[in-house]
Amino acid sequence: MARINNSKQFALSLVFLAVILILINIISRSLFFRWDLTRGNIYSLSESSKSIISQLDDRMTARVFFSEDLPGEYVNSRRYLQDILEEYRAYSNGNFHFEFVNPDDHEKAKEEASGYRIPPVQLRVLENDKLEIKNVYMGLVLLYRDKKEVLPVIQTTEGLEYDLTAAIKKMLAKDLKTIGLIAGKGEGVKTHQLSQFLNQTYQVRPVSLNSPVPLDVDLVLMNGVMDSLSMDELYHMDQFLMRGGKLFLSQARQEAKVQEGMAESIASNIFSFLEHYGLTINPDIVIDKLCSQIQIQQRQGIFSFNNAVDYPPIPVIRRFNEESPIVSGLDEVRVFFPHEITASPDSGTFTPLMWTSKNSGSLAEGYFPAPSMGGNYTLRNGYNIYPVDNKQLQKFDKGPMIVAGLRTGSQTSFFADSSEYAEKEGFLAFTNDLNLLLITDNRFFDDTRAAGIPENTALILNAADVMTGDAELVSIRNRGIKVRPLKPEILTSDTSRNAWKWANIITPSLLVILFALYKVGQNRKKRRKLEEYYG
Amino acid sequence: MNTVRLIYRKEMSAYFNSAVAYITLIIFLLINGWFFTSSFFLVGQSDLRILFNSVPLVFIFFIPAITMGSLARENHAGTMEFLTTLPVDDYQIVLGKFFSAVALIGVGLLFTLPHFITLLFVGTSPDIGAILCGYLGLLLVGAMYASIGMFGSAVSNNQITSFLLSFIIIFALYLFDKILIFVPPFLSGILQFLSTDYHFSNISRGVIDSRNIIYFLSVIFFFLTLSVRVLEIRKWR
Repeated sequence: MARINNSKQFALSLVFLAVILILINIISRSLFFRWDLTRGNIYSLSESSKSIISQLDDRMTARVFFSEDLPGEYVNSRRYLQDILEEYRAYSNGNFHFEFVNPDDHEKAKEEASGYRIPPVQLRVLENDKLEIKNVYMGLVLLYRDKKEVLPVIQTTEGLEYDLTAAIKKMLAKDLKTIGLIAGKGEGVKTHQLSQFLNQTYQVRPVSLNSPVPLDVDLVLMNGVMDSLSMDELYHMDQFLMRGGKLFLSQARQEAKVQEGMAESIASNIFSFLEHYGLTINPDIVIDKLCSQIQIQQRQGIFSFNNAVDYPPIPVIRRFNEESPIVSGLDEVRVFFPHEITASPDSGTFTPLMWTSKNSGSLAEGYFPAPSMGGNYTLRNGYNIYPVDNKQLQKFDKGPMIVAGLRTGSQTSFFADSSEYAEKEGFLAFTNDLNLLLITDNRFFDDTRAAGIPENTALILNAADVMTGDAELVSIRNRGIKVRPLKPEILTSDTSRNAWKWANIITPSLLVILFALYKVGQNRKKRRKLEEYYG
Repeated sequence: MNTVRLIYRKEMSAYFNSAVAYITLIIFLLINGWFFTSSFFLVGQSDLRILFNSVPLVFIFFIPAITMGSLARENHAGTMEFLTTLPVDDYQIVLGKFFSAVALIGVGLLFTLPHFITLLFVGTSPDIGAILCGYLGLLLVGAMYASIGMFGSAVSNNQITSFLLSFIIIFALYLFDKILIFVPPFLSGILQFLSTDYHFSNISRGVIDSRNIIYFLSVIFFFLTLSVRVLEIRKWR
């Protein structure tokens, strides 16, 4: 290192050094490498994305409408987007191109963005010493032949690869598969958000069992019924299954009324229909120590306050069938007031998909009201699901219970012995390709339970992909939602949690003290030796 | 390089033969342990993100504390003059002391391994690759802070002044990423690029990106060179 002899040289050398380092950093932004050390390389392009982008046989262009002067937290999104687009380009055999457009000061670009339905997003930014609302653009459009797919707002990097690959896949698909949705008749049931998710890769439309399910519908998602179906409705469901249609049914045996603290039995012929298909839904509600929390209002003196309490009738499922692609990559699913499924050994193949934890149990019917509501227990029809001081919600005396499963294989029609229906034209009496997925939550496709809980959405989208025979996107989706919870026994036991906690606070320092004592011992030994040597 | 090694060894032996290093380490580990455990079981995830978030924060105090004396003490005691009369270059002094500070930081990180071991027992299939990457990131952040600490220590004979100077620089670099909402958009890109956390966050999630590595190495190189230049000032003043 050359010596410096005066302040001028000192300043010059520092400026020179700073300039060189800034240049190196600027160059490094375009010439870089990334090494993803995570398991499954979750921050790199997945094999499915690589395979899909390599199928391009014509030029695809991504026009990215992204404002330049974005508030800090969004600068990262822009960089991540650019990185990921560069990866797509690398695997596209030269068919994928992208260009960033800054619409901020260009009216033409703004008009173009608006033509693609990419809206400006309002963000708070600091300008002229005050916080102002600014319109910024953060969207992109993919153009391929005469098709276009739009991602109107990219605010987060979460799930971006899935959205992009799903959009590209949709543009490459010759015929989009169709999913029929039966929302159910319960109050306030909404499936709008779920439909939006499904629309990324499927055509989604509502269907009804009043008439035969249209032939182009590959899969039907159906929320639970609250009373009996007409024989015609059952017939249409049966014939849909017989012709190889796929059904994902969300059906329970009790209708939970949380405000009233009770659940009432559903009387429906759908249960005998399912029993014919070899699936029995146990009437008792399953409870689990590993569960979601709910907010309840509690009173103490004159004060009332909201309190989060564990609520065993909403189990958190963490045990999945690792051999089924529908659930194998999932970490957690929440089911509401589920029931145990028993499969008849005489019927075709039954694949259990989800189990409750080993600390689960089932509610016994008929004890009301809970002690805190005043009075003694009385025997009535129904199930006590009142969240406070309810001893019935504390009995976890049964092992893992199956709450979702898939029936496949051969099956005879429910109407095979019916003279009225079996005579109908085009009646199908038998199938070798049954596909009936049952989950024992009565409203699993409701927006609050499906689209509102990302892991539940993932389960539905996985099931749609796998059941319609297109599992390419499953692996990308599962990468994005990876949660690795701690072992349940650690979280549910205060004693073990505290033991681990204190061990973690004390052990590192204790090791330092032991190391210090070892060093002191060694130094003493050394000193003694020196003393002996020099007498 | 032999001279650098000699200075490194001398510094390491000075660290571990005084109670100060042990006390600093214990405080560092207790604070980390407390931060880690107060959220780890609450969040309930099988990773060390909580540790990787808290350690850089504790480093802001810990690293200036361990580096404040490295050059300032020599200046104050007048041993720097003696050192410079030996056939030792200024950069060798700075490098030897810098490596010993990084080694001490490495030892501090090594003692956080009980948290990692806990995770292996109570977690479900933790991502080891991402965790090792996170530790590498912490070492890089530590080395960067140590280089700033060396500069702070070179500038002043007073250890408190050295501590404060390096603390302010490190804290500013740490803070840049957190105050972006309050700065005008044209500055936010630059401030974000300068901030430590922005570069560390990529590594802590398990991705080694050459841009982040180059940033850390650039800052380290810049402050070490600055420290050497500051030592040289004495010779021509």
